[in-house]
Amino acid sequence: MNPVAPVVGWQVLDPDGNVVDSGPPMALQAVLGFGHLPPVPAIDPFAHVPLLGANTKEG
Amino acid sequence: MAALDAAMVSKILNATTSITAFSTLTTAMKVRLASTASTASAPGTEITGTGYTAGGAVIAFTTSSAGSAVTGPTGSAINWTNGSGSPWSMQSLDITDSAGTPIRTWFGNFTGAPVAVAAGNVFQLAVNAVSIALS
Repeated sequence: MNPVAPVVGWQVLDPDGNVVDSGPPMALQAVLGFGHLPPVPAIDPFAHVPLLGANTKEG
Repeated sequence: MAALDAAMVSKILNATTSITAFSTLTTAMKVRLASTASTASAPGTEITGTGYTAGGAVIAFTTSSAGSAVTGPTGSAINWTNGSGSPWSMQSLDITDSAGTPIRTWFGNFTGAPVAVAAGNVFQLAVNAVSIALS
């Protein structure tokens, strides 16, 4: 097994060069996206089909 | 980690929707250390004292290609030696350009913050310690 060296982002060194504190790299990330698209109006497939018998006159 | 200055977000959005052309930043980019948290709306309070130059230190980044992240500093680590006579306490960093009134682009808070740097000690930002990405 090969040891994996830690990836150091920042560290604090004393005057002798000894590491007294350390932390990981900083990952600054902005996320792109479409978060607020307007709603799509619902389409009634029968909107233009007259109802059978509606608006008709008899005799 | 939310990381992009809010004003810069608007500049990017306006530039990429043909509203307002993007104004070129002034090289070189700098990294500023702050004793308080940085947010999208405001940078942290910059630290002061011997060993730290107001406005921050120059930092260079790799070039992005095909949407890849960029990392910095390149070449060598950035060191600040605390000669102020009192401890530094650091919470965050801010990336700005070098304009007379610096334009802030990115920011981030240190994992493990606050980071205490005793008088006489060195705070070091390792090579490629800062990774910046859009996804």
